[in-house]
Amino acid sequence: MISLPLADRARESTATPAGGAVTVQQVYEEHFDFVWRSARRLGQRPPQLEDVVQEVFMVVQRRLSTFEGRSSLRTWLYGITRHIVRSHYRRTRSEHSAPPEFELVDGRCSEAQLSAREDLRLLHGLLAQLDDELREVFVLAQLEGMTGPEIAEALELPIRTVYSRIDSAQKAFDRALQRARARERGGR
Amino acid sequence: MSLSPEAERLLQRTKHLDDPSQADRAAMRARLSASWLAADQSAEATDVRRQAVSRWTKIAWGVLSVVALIGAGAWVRGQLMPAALPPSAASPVAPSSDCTGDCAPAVARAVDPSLEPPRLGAVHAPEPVPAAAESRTPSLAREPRPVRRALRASERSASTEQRRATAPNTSPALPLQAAAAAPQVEAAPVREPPISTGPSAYAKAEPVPDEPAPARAPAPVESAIDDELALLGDAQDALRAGQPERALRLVQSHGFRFPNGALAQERMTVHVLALCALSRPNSARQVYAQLRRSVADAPVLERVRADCGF
Repeated sequence: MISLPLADRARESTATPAGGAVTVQQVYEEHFDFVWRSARRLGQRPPQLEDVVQEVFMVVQRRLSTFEGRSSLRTWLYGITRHIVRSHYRRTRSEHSAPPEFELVDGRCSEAQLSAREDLRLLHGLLAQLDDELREVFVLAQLEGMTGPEIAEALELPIRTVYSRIDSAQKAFDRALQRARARERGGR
Repeated sequence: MSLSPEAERLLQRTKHLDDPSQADRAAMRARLSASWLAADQSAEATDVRRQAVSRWTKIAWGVLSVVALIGAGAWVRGQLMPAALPPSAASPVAPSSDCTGDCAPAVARAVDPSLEPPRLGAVHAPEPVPAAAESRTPSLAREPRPVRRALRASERSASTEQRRATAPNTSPALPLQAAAAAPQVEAAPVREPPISTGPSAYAKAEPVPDEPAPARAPAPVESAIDDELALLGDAQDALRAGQPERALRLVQSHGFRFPNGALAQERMTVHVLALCALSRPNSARQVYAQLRRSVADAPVLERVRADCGF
């Protein structure tokens, strides 16, 4: 395994922003999963998914000093992720589907793991049936637990629009789920 | 309206299934560590360049001030001579608001010792630099004392411009161009001192207030760094994935696109490692020799040597 001399030196690099005590490494440790999930649910798959996430944290390093207040860090990060996905990867955006890695059949998978795969496949299949703008608010509200004001800030929307879209998204999601269950019962 | 219970349960079960795996986290951490380090180093390099430009700007302004003093003295001596300099040479740039807009009458008035005091007062004011420039033409000519005051005003405004120049200017332009470009903040001072000899011709020779490079410099640097990082990140990934040929191609592409890029040192590091992985020790040693010349960091060199078996 070739070791790269640059990698472990970076731990000493603090990239401390001028205005506060938060470093990019701290932001990374706390919110990496969220950024990854967000990019994933915005349609990114490997290898673009890793590229997007890396780019998000490069932006964070550059702009963390201009960020004020930890309360909306997640919304700030989501805004960055969304912007990068839209501006750089519009053409390569893939459809919402189960991640390819879940297609690999592994005999050692437990029942729970197989069941989880099925659930995830179902979830993404349902999300794919929502309009983009409905899906976005739905994911942030239902899967990330963001509040209405947080979503409004992240998506730069009026709060009323956010609630209206959440309502529409919930209805659409439920309808899609019913259709999927009906197909399972009737078709297979 | 809320979701059906079944939908709620599905969402609960799948909430964290899109999370990154441990392997994803480890790979991304390594990738980001290198990228953050590279970005920090390039930021330091930019700071060093900025300091170098700032130093050159100060030197250039010092030179300009000295030349201005010499030129002002020569002009004054010329004005005090019976055979005065021709009007066109006296003030290449007409101070429009102060006198009538015509240079010739201003020169003629300048030798008149009964010129009003307010002009002299205007020269003294440090803030209204254009006013100082415009009123200098008549004031300089009067007597040795007003000349000295005017020259001090000139130095003061020059140092003001120097401060303005060093603060926002990040362009690695030639020192003279940088000095001349800085006053785009304030267009008038570029034309001063309005003296016929050296300084004005000197100032006019520079393609000045339209120089956009200082203001635009940061943006292209930023996107170029992004491209550099992307390319080098891919090269590192290729190395890590056991694809040294691809790493070498990416390194060569980086070297072609960014020969003087901020990440040349990082590129050389990856270059050496790729060549070692391809069992090309002679080429690897050549690049390593280049790397050693530019790197002061012994641990980096030690790691490269260890990985390559030098």
